[in-house]
Amino acid sequence: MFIINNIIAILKSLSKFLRFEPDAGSNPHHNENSIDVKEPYDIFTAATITFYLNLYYKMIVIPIDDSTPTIWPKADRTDIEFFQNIALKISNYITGFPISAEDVDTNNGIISTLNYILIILKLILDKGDDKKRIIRQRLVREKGLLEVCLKIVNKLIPITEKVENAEKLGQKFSSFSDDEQTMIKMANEILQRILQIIFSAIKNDPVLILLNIKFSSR
Amino acid sequence: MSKEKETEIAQTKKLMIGDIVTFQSVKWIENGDESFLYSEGILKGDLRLSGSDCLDDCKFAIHLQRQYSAARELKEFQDSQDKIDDEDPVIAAKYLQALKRGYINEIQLNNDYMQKKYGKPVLFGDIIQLYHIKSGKYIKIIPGELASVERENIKIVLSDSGDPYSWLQILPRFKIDRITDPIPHGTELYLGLAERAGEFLHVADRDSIQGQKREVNCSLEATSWKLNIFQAATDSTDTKKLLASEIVYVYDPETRCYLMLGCPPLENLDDPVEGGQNEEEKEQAPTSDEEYRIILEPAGALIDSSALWVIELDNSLRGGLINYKTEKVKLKHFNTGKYLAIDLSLQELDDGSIEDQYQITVTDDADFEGNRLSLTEMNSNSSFLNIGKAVQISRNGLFVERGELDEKTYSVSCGTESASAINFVINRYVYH
Repeated sequence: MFIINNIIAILKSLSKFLRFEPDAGSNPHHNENSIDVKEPYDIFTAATITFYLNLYYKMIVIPIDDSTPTIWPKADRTDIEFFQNIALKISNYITGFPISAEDVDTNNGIISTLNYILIILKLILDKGDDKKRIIRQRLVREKGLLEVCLKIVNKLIPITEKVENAEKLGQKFSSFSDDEQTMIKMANEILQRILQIIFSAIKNDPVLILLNIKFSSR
Repeated sequence: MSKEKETEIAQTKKLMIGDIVTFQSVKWIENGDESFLYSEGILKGDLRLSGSDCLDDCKFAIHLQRQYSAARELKEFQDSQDKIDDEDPVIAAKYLQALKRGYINEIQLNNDYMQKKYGKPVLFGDIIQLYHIKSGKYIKIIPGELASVERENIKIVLSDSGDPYSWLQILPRFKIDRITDPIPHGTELYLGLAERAGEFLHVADRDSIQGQKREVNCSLEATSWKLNIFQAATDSTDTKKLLASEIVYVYDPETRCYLMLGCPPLENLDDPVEGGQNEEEKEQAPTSDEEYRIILEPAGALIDSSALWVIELDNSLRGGLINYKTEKVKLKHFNTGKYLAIDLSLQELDDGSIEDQYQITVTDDADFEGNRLSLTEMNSNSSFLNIGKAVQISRNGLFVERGELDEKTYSVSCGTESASAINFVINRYVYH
């Protein structure tokens, strides 16, 4: 127990170096001196978040052949980059950080795996602003964020099943066509990000914790 | 209010500092609808043209030209510090502190100046800044970046605090309007860049890729905009008055409950339209409006966002004070976008006969006749709706009444007796 506590303490101190401060350098449109910067009201941000997730949900088309390398056939490169960017912004925002925080070291919109792991680690360890988090978690849930996230997860089930069935039959990932592999990787990445958003929307919520206590006492 | 009278009043309106406006493109009509200067602003900062369905994203406030010299000096010093290492760190820190102080003072001065000039007229030729209401950002051009559709033009975005490239000059389109003339509602004008003479806010002639809204960029070619004053600056001076397009909650003080929209529980994660294999499945509507319940429910310490409503006037292009004696309003549910309506429905009785019955319901159709409600302020001499006053909601002599109690929740019905109507209190939602 002592060792675990120590590890957590070290990780927490490390997480200070990963603080998500608005990074003026990474965003040429961001004014680093903006003491007077007003963040948009939470109620509008929550509505915008759900609007975009709904948009991306409606864009999903599960390919019926093995020659379609995407689940968003109508999306272009900027749409995909935008999704990658906002998925992390949403998680950070719900946790209590400003929506404008430029937290991701993007390399032309592609987030490195190491950076992604660090960000997730940060999300787990750093509490952000607790008061804001509780209000935001509630707001986004009332706006239907969990519903749309679960719909996305549900819509991607055929792809997960495809991979599982192939594994059951002893087939390797390489047995899929190149296009299918790309499509599966894409679906996997989207799933990861959506699950991260779901996690941030329910993590440490006092109401849910209370419910959990009730369930466990039965 | 008759349309003629509304137009007459509107034409006498002149543009003021602090007015909330929309800019309609004279040339472009998107999907058969009027198109407005638009930006989502919160996650995407680019400027586009959009129809009136996104009107909340099309509202801009007229702000005074803000000064940015201290901000620029601070930025330049911080940029140079990254490059020069041989400076004495103590002196540099002191200098930085002084610059930051200057910067904060500049913000304060800008805000004070804006407060002083609030409600003062704006004239043709004046330099202003356009402040996006929803996101709280200023329009500005990015001199070094090209627009994404018309690569020969410069990119325009929404910026957190603006800079000299946010300064816009209002220029007349017609010769009848001259520089230093006041700017009336409905007039056509150009939005020029103060820092780059001869460049204007321009709507791209080239189409965007399918599914995307038309781009707005900065070009040498001028685009004319029709100015629509949505809400006058003077309307918001009395904070006790309710304004159209505000987010409110409707409270029943007798039961200490809020008027809410109870959404049906999610039973199926599948998309009913796309997922349907046969005709029957395809005909399934996502969720029928009848499944939504209008209820009165007590709220906890935090107000549930299902209790939030947006007050709209019949003419969605107009905001400001609500004259409840002459105007009908619509109550739009904030979370779902559905309108509260008093509607006629056919009810089957026990003996099998069918009877007309009025009921409270919701609808997606903004133009539905049943949405037009009267909000009557009780025992009031004021013509305009106030916050915190007893208000009855009705339509054509049918009043919103309290229904049966089910655990802690009351149902809502309607009846013809004003005496049995609920006296609601409408309060403004306090943003955080």
